[in-house]
Amino acid sequence: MQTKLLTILCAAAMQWGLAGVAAAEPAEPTQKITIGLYAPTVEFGAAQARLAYVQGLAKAVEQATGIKTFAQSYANVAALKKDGVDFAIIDGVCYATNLQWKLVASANIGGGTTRPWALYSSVGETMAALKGKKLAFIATGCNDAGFIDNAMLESEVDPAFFGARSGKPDLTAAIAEVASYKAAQAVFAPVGAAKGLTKVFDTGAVPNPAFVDTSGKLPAGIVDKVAASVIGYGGSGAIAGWTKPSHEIYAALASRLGKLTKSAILANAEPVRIDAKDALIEPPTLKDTALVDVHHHFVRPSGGRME
Amino acid sequence: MTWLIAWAATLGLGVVQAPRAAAEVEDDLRDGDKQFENGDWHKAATAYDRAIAKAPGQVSAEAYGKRAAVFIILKDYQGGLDFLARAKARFPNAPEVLEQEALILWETDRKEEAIKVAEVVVAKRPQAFTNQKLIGEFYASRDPMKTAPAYEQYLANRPGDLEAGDVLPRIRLGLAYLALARLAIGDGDEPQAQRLFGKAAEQFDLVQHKFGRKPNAQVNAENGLCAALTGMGQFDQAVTVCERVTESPNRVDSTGSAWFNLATAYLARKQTKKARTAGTEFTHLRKTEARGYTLLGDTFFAERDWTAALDQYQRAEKLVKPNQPHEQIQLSIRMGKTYRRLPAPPSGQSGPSGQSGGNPNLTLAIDKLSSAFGANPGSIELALELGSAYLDARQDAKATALIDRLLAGAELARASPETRGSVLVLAGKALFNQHKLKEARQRFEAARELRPGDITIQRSLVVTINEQAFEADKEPKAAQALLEQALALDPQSPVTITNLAVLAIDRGECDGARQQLGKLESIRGHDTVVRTRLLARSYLCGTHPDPKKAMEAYAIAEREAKKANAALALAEIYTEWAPLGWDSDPNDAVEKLELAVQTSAQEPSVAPAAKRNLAIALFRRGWRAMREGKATEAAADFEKALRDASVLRSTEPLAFEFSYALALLDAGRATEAARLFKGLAAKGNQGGYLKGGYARFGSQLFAAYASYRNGTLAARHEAAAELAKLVQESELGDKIKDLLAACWESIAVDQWRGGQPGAAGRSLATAEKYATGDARRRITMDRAALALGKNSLDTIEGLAGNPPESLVNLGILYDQLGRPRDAYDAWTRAKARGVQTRDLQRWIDTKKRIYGY
Repeated sequence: MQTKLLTILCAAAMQWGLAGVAAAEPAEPTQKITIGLYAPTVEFGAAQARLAYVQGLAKAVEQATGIKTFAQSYANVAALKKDGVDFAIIDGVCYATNLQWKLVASANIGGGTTRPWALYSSVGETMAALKGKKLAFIATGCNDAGFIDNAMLESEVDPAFFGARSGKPDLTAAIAEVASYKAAQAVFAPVGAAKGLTKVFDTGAVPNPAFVDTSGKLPAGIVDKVAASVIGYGGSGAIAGWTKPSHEIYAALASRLGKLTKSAILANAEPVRIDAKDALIEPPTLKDTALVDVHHHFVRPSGGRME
Repeated sequence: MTWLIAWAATLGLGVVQAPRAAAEVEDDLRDGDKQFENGDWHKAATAYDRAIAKAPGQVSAEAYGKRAAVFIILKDYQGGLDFLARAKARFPNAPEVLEQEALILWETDRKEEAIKVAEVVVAKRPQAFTNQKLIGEFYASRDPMKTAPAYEQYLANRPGDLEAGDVLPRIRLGLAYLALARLAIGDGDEPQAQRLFGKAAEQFDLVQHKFGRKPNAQVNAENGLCAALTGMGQFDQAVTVCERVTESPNRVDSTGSAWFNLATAYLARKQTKKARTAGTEFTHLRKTEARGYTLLGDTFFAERDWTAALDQYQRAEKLVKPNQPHEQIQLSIRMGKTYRRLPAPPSGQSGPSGQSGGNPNLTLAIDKLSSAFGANPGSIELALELGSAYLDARQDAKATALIDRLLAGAELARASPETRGSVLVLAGKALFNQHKLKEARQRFEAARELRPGDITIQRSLVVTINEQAFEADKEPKAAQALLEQALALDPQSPVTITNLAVLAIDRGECDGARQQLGKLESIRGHDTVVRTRLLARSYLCGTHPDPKKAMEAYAIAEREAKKANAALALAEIYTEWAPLGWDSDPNDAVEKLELAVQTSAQEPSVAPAAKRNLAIALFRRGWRAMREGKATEAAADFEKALRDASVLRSTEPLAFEFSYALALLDAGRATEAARLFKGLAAKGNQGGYLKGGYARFGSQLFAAYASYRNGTLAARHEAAAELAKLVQESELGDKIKDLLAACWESIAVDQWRGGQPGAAGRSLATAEKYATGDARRRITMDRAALALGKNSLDTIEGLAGNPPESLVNLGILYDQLGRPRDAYDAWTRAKARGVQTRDLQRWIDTKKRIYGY
């Protein structure tokens, strides 16, 4: 009896095992991870430093995931998209125009996930002095006009105000265009980045680069490991570190990229009142103010009694 | 023996009246007298016996008496009695014989028999001092009425050489006088009591000065003097003497009277604590005597500690004896007085309440006093106290009945004028309380005749006549005449003068009232608050009202009322003062009247006037607020003004409600306003409070007006349709066109906000047909704004900032045209003109930040 029961159980187990194998596709293990970098607003200084940074990060990811990880620095966002990298370190404005990517982490620069920006000038501190002058800008290819006219100039400045615009590959080049080469007279830059130039006005905060999952194909477990290793990556230099993803700062920038249009208003319709003098007959009895009957002052014993 | 010899000496010779029948008998009697004088008692006895044996009929009663005296001297009392039995056969009623019998009976301890005999003797021969002394001594502890005359006779008739023995007789006489004085007090005969206390003091004083060194003389005299001086009301001297006695306990007599009298004297001098200490000493010595506890009760009563006083009186009540009616009466009066003063226990602690307004203590007072009075119906003092308790308990009819009985009895006729006056005053008060003013006045007048100098009676009489005047209110002349009668009695009576002023104001004779009030100012005891308040009022009536002076006078009255914390008077003052100043300071007027209404809520003589004036003040302030564009405040005022319609007159409720509805509209509460307009339309009588066309078309017009102000697009469409029907009514003038234009303008704004610019444009076009002035400018701007673009610039600039919203639109145009500075300036001006739009400030700030303006 015992022998028979054992035989049945073993057979069932073998059947379940076979069924399990037959139900799943054979999983293809992740062979490698690719990380791209396009962050022209970050002051890496030189291209080598830029590449070194992303490679250091890739090494940390590889150690955390055990998967071979490759890193690549790009000169524009289009090239990065074309390569189909798994992950990307991408400028804030570019993520604001590609919010479909999954945000994994936000870069920490100067102690925060955003940096205040301002308009810097080489011809004085007033806006009037810049009229007709040339504006240098970081040409990210991520809605540059929206970024300049709407996010930076808040739709308050006529697009024709600047005489010309000069797009540069990164922040260093844009600032140099104004400060060193004098080919332009104004540039938008993070506060403190444009040495030797005069601040004209503050424009508001711009989010730092984002670490994003651009492919969306890697298993969630691997993405989580990557995210953990990125956030744990200290590093040093231009990007001080990474923090948990803060989606709203990029969404806020995205909302500023559109043009603001001012609507006309109608006048408050003053209500027409019916004046009492026109309509009301003042009751003649109103002048009959009441007097207190003094009779109760007639002095009498308390309670009308003598005790 | 000495006094017997002295007695014999007073008799003279036993032979003075003897017949001459036998010379031998005469000789024997002469011999007997001689031996008696020499003190040779045996020889004297032999001589007297010889005479009696020879001729008993020729021996005088005096000689028999002398022979009997020898028996006494030789202490042969039985022999003496035998001899006297024989002597009485011959002289059965001779006082000379009976006097000796009394002495022998006294000596043989048959005192009551002795006194019977002695009383026969002294009745025939008052100078029989030996027997007087027996009587005095016998009654000293029994009957002061017999003691006092006996000792008086003794002292008057005893031979001078017996004076040294006067200490005890005089002390006892003094004590008898004290006892008699107390009896006189009990009988209500105070003068007699004073005379007796005086006589007692004389005796004690004499003993103190003449026999002070004799044993016990000083002590007894001081004890007696302490009592007499207290009785005489010479309390300072009494305290000195009584304190001397009580300094040493062995000087205080066994009755402890020195403590009692000292306590009484202290109490009279209002030294209640010392009195209580002395009284307590007395109660330690005389634990069963009621008067000690009564006295202790008196000390607490003097301190107004009614509970403690009652406690002591209740202890006394247990000790007072049936044969002490005076003490009983006094105690009942005290308990009655105390119960009258005890506050009613808190509700819930029920006790006997009777008919005394729910105060069980008053009921107890009446019970106590009634019982005592039942037992002592002749006590006027008790009757007075009971009558007063009846008054306290508002049982005036009982008080009257009680006093009527008293007035009909004989007792009162014998009472002093003071007492009779008190009875009449009580009668007057009881009658007054029953509104029997004529009879009350008669009683007070009678009392005044008895006690012409009594100011309280005069005051009661004046008050009664004033009350008569009050009741004669409907006949001003009669009332005035009565008050003049009262004034004749007391020209300085603040009551009468105040009432004269009140009646004068009532009659509108305010100049006369002012004269009376002027007189009142210098009279002490008048009510300053009432005087100043009436004076202020007097400036508002009469032939020449003077509001300015009235206001000044009300300010003074206000100060006085505040000083006296007289809230109700302040309410009256504010009620009349506020209307004088509401044109210049409506807030102050409303504040004053609100306080007046709040304070006088329960006072029907003031509250309606205060409420009416407050309603009018609120109505007036409401309209002022409407003119100032403060519709919310105005609505609140009108709403409050309408709260008590009972104080409003004629068309006031309708006018107030109409005003409230208009204010609600301006305050944005159009739904409520519409409801009110509908209600007013239903009430009708619009011609009573609305002018011309408003009265004629009121229902239709105001319903449409409310709908226009309502704020919903649909309601405004309906309103526009209704108003269009009235546009031809000339009685409504241009107002109807203004309303129609404004209505379409509002519709356009609603449509534009709702994203219907086309519809808005059409509505503006309709509005423009009726609009004039500013409305027309607004509509022009609105139409330009609907299609704002470079082509609008001239139109908008042409408005020159009127309406101010045009500046906002002008700024937008400049901004579009790349003229940031002009845009900034236009928006800044718009802001300064009060334009409120969502982004205006942000636009200004951004321009300023970017361009550094």
